[in-house]
Order: sequence, then C-alpha cells, then structure tokens
Amino acid sequence: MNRFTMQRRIAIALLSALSVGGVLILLDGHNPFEAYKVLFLESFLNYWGFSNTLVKASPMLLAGLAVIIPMRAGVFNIGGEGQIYIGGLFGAVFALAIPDLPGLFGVPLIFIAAAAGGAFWAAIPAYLKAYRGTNEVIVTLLMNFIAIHIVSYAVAGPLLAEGAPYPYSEEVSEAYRLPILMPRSDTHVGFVFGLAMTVILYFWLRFTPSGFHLDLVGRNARAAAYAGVDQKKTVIRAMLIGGSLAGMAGAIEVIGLKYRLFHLFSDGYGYDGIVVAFLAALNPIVAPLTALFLAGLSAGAGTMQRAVGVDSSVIEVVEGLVVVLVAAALVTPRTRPISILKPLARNLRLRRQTQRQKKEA
Amino acid sequence: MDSFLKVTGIDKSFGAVRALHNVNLLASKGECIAILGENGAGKTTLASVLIGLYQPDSGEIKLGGTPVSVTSPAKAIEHGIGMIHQHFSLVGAMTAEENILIGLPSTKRGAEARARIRQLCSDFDFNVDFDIRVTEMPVGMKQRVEILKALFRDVSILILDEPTSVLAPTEVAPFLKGVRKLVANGCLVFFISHKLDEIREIADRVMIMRHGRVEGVLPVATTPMAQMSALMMGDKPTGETVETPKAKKARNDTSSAADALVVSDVCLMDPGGAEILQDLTLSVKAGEILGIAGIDGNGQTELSEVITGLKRQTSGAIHLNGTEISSASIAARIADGIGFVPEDRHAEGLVLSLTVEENMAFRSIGEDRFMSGGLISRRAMHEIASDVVAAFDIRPPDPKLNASALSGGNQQKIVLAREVARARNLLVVVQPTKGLDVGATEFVQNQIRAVAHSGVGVLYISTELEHVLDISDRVAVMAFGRITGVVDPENTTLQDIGLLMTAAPEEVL
Repeated sequence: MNRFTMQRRIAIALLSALSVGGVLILLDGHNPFEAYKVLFLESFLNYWGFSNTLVKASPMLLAGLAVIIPMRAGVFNIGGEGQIYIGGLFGAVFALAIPDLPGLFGVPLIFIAAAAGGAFWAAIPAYLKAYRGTNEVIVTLLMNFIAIHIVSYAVAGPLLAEGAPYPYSEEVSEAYRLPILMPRSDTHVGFVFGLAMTVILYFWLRFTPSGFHLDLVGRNARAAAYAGVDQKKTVIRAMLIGGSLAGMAGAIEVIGLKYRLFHLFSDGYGYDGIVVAFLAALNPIVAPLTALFLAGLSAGAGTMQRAVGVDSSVIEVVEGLVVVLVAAALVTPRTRPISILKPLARNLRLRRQTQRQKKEA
Repeated sequence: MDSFLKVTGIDKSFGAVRALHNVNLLASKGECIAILGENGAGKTTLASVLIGLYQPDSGEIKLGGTPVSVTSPAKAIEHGIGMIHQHFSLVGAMTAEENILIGLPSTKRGAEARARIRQLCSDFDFNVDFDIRVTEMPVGMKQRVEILKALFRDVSILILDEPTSVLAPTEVAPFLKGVRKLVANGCLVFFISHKLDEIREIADRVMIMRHGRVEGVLPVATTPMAQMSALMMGDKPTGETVETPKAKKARNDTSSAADALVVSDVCLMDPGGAEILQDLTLSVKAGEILGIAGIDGNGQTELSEVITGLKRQTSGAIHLNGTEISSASIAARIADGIGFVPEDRHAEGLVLSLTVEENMAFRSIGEDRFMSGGLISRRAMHEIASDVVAAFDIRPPDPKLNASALSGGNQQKIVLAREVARARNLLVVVQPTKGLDVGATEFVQNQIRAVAHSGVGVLYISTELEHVLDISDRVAVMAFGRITGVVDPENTTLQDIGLLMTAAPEEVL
C-alpha cells in the first residue's frame, strides 16, 4: 500500500467515525451539522477555544512522536504515559532542587532532565526487548502504572507542598516557566517546541543514515540485518528517543501549564499519542495535524455540550471510532490486524480509567 | 475435441500496466500445457486469475461448458483448480502433515488422511521429513509439501509455477514423471516454465505469452525450439552473445592472481548441535568465478551467510584479501566491499514497502555516492537508480514505484544491480537465476562475468547445474556441509558431479 492510498484510507476512516457520531447526535435529537460546527468553530476559530486546543495538542504531539519513532523501528511503545510521568518528575525535581538558575539555562536543563527521565523509563523495556526478547507492549504498558504511582507517592510525600490540600509539589520558580504564546491565555510555547522536534525527526528519518537504518529495521528486520544494521542497538536507540520525547511532554505540562508537579497530572496523553501516531500513518510530519485534530475534538466537546446540548460523551464515542477505524484502515494483507487493534482498544480503556481515577481524586 | 476449460477474452490491468490482454485458451483434460514467456509476460497473472487470486477486468472462464466465477482460491479448489506458487504459501510453524491438512474438516484429518499423504509421497518419490516444521525444511522440501497439498485435494486442474526451479537436478526427473502420471490420470496441468528442455519433455502444447498477450498455442512435438524462443522474445534484439570458451579461458587466466577469499576449516553447528558446515575449506582468486554446485539444503545458504557475516561460524577462519574477517560485523564486511545476493530476495534482499530507488541504496546508504554534506542525497539516489533501471531494463521503468509493484524477475534485478555495484573485492551470489527466463538469465550471467572481469572474486552458489557449469572457472561441489570435490567445468561429466553431489563424504574422500 503506498502512502497515497494509505492517507486516503485514513481520511475515509475519519469521515466514517464522524458520520457514525453524527447519527448518534441525530438519535439524541440534535442536528449533527450544528453540533460539529460548534465543536470545530469553538476549538479552532475561537481564541480561547483554540488556546485550549493548543494546550492539549502540545503533549499529544510529543507523545505521538514518542510512539512514531519506536514504531518505525518495529517497537510498539505503549509506555508514553509512564514516560511522561517520570519525565515530569525528573524535570520538577531538577527545577525544585536548583531553583536559582537563569531561565535561559534552567529551562533547557529541565528539558534535558525530563528527557533523561523518560529515556530511563523507556530503557528498561527496550533492554528487555532487545536482549531478552520480552514483549515490549506488556512491559511498557505495565510500567505506566508504576510511574503514575511513583509520582503520586512523590507529590504526596517528599515533594508535597507545605499546606497543600491536594497532592502537589511547590511551584517552580518563575524564571523556569515557559513563555506564553497567546496573551492572556494558558497557551505556552510547547506546541512550537513540538513542531521543531517534528521537523528534526522527519529530516533525521529521511536524510541521515542512522534514521534510514532505524526505519529499515521496522520495515524488514531481516533486510536490515543484511544491510549491516545492529538491530538490538537500533531498538534501544528508538526507545530512548521515544522515551525522551514523552519525558519532555511531561516537562511541558509541569513548567508550561501547571507550574507544579501534580498527582495524576497527565490526562492520558501518552495513550492519545498512540492515536496521533496511527492517525498520522507513522509519518512525523503529519503528527502536528493529527495532534491538533484530536486535541480539538476533546477541547470542543465540552463547549458543544453546553451550546447544543449534545452529551460530550458522543465525542468519546467518535474518538473511540477513530481509533478502531484508523486501525482498520492501516491493516494491510501484510500486517496482522490483531497486533494493531489490540493495544489500541486497550489504550481506549485505559484512558477512560485514568480519567475516572482523576475525577474520583 | 471437447474442451474442458475454456478461457475467453480475459483482460487484467494493474493501474496503467496491462498485465493480460484478451487472453483466450481451450484446454482438455489429460493434457499438459506449458506456459512460456519472459518475466512479466503475464504468466503468473493468468494463473492467479484462474485460481481466483485476481478478478479479471473482463472475460469469461468456462469449466465443462458452464461459466464459473472463481472469486477466491477456496472457490478454485471447489472447482478442482489448484496451484503451486513460486513463493510458497505454507505455515512455517507447522509440520508437513498439518500444512497439507490445513483448512479441512476434522473428520478428514484422521489416520486415514495421514496414510494417504504418505502414499502420495511414495507414489511420486517425494522425500519429505514428517517430523520437522516447515521453517526447518530446505526450499526443495517445502515445494514438495506444496505439491502434496494440491494433490491431496484431488485437483483436476493443477497450475505449477516454475516448479522445477528449486528442485535438485536428481529430483527433476522423478518430479516430471509424477506430473506425467497426473496427466495420464486425466488431470489438466499447466506448467509455467522457462526451461525449454523441460517443456519439451513434459508438455503436449505450449502457450507462449509476451507483454500480456498470447503469442501462440502450439503443439510441442512439431514446434522447433527456435520458433518458441522467437515468439517468446519478440523482435527485440537477442541478448549479448554467450561467452565463448576461448574468451572464458582468456578471462579466467587467474593463476597468478591473489586469493580474494579464503575460507579455512569452517564449521557451523545449529542450535540443535547438527553440523551444517564441516571443516569447509575453499578459496576464490581475484577475478575468478568459483561455482558451488550441490543439492538444495546441503549448507550452501549457510556458507554464504557465514562469509557475509549473517551467521557466525563455530570455528575456522575467513580471510578477505589476506586480512582476517572471521569475527568482523556485517557492516564491516559491507564496508570491505563484499557484495551479497541472498537467496530469498523477498524476505531479505529487498524491503518491499520501500521504493525501487531506496532498495537500490539501502545496503550502501553510507557510501559517498549516496551522500552529500553528511546527509543522504535523495537526488543522487534517484539519479543512480534511474541509470541502473535503464541499464538493467527494469520494468516498469519508474524508480519511485514501490518494490512490491514489480515482478519477481525485476525484483531480482534490483538486488543484483545493487550488489554488483557494491562488490569491490568479493561478490557472493546465491540462486541468482532462480525463476528467471532465458534472456534474463543470460543478462544476469553477463553482469556477473563483467564483475569478475573487473578483478572481483565471485562465489556463485546455485542449484541450477547448467548455469553453474556455464559461468564458473572452477566448480566446487557441496554435499552434507562439505566440499566433496573441485572440478574443471570444461573437463568433467555430469555423472561425476552427480556422484560428488550425492555420495557420502566418506566414500568420496
């Protein structure tokens, strides 16, 4: 299947998901065109709505890249969520431990610390995959829960802010906070940073031997070995890059949006990244668009509920359908459907779970 | 004569490529029809239409007078049409029996069925190991399992796509005998082949295809080979002349040349402890073509992998131009100028989801000719590939197509072109002519000769004995993981080689 037919199939999958969602809105007694219009106007053409979309899109984009790069080497990184948490933790610890640097040094160092945290968390399943043949899907997935609880422990214990009513850390110093992109809003420069990473990764895959070789491993591992590519090292490299990207998404949440390390601070962005990645057909240059789309859906859902009266859970259905239909669109005679569908379905379940947990908290 | 199978006006296009153009055919039970044509002539496409893998754009298939619509291979089997593909469709993790019985209701998979499989096996003189899984089988045995699978399903029309290309020379005659037995029992057999002598031996009629059209359906007995060949090749100029023995002599005066490759006392054990290679020693001089003949599965593939670094020998040493490379990585050996055309071009030699030009480059990507300013130059990649596509007449001539869109013969040309360009010191080729037609074989052989002529040592591993004898300066015969003898191709008889191929090492040494 060439790239063009693949993109067409993905577009058809998207339209189908929106159509089925439209039917549900109709059954709910509302005009689907009106509802979608409100949703997209609110999330993309309204200043505050778009600001909200960008805030959500920033971690989604990095989390999407964190799935794309390992997947291009044939490794399925379901662990973005955990890598975000550990990245946020490392970034926050660095920011709180050394609070007096000028922002110009401090912010890059916080990013490096967060990237190191995410990479460290990804290195464990990467090593097990490369040298022990362990299934990376299971290991990365389960390590998410460990990471979430480590952060919960940290902010409820050693990092707990004085007099905090909720498990969160002290604020990071003002010098370390990311600049605001859209005045009077929360929108920080995180998405721009993500765009820069996107371009770098796209060129790396296309124009450097190491990027080309990584792609080769994912496409045909035997041919890659025949071309002299060290598979084990490539798998580890891909996962380290993925972990770093997700880790930096964690830093963006901490020093860009909340200015503290919160208990359960990521809203399932690591799992959203999987949708972003597959929606982009694993092409990094498309990921910003798919991240914006997914972020827009979730940012506009609330407004749509208020303005039109359609329950916002319809949008959850649409998101779910997007996952399933895009996965179906990507199934070629050469890929086993099960290998893509299963983790994606699991992803959907986990997202719900995280959201529920958060609400309960 | 009543025609059992009637094919009328079949058309099939893939995008802009017209693979079949108004194909008509009448055939009766109890005859063997050979389908002859160059690579990409439409032979395999026609077969795929007959067994329901592809749906024709237009046209009709009638069986016994009634129009049938063969919409899937399962339907084809219902109608009694079976096919043995060039690329096998076996489940690697299963045994021969499991593969043969796959998809049948459990009532038909009992002891009786198993007994019948063994009966078929002995009827057709097929040597199949029923205790191992398909992945562990040599290619020739896998094909025998494929054939058994079709025979077991009582097909009345059997399509064989290049069936003998993987068989050992000694297996060809019994196989052809088996096919004749099928025909005598009223089966209609289509025999897709490039080998005129085999067609001569087995087929009643020959259907010649070119560029998707039927050029003629002729009785084999009364049609001279030259006419068949002319119809198949069309009016294009024939390939370069075959090297004369004198020219070969002139080229292979390598007595004073240095050794390009020396393999000394190499042993290789598989994880189960079986000895795949046993104290194997050989040398290839610069500019020399050393042929390795042998029956499929006697360690030839493993030898190529040990030399190129894909497998690590248990003991022994390998020297390239006098430097030991016994423990060098694959990448280091690539950098040392070892070109390698592996046996399985689909699984190993190519990345089908990449374009033709990326496939031309992927094993050489760090080389200067593909780089500019430290980055991969997509333009250089395209230009180099365009030149090669023209020089090797790769069709369709578009380097930006995915490799999966090309026919098997054209895919093989991509691999060969890439490795020929890479090989500065040594070229290892395994089964380079497998599945190629006469013209393409000659082309491949000439390319390899040219490489040797430029001073590169060539190790030419193939089970197609006549090709090995034709091209090699010396021929080493392999059996049971050893070299059982090295002969001069000019002064040796097939009988001698056959003995070396089959005799146990103890009897020969």
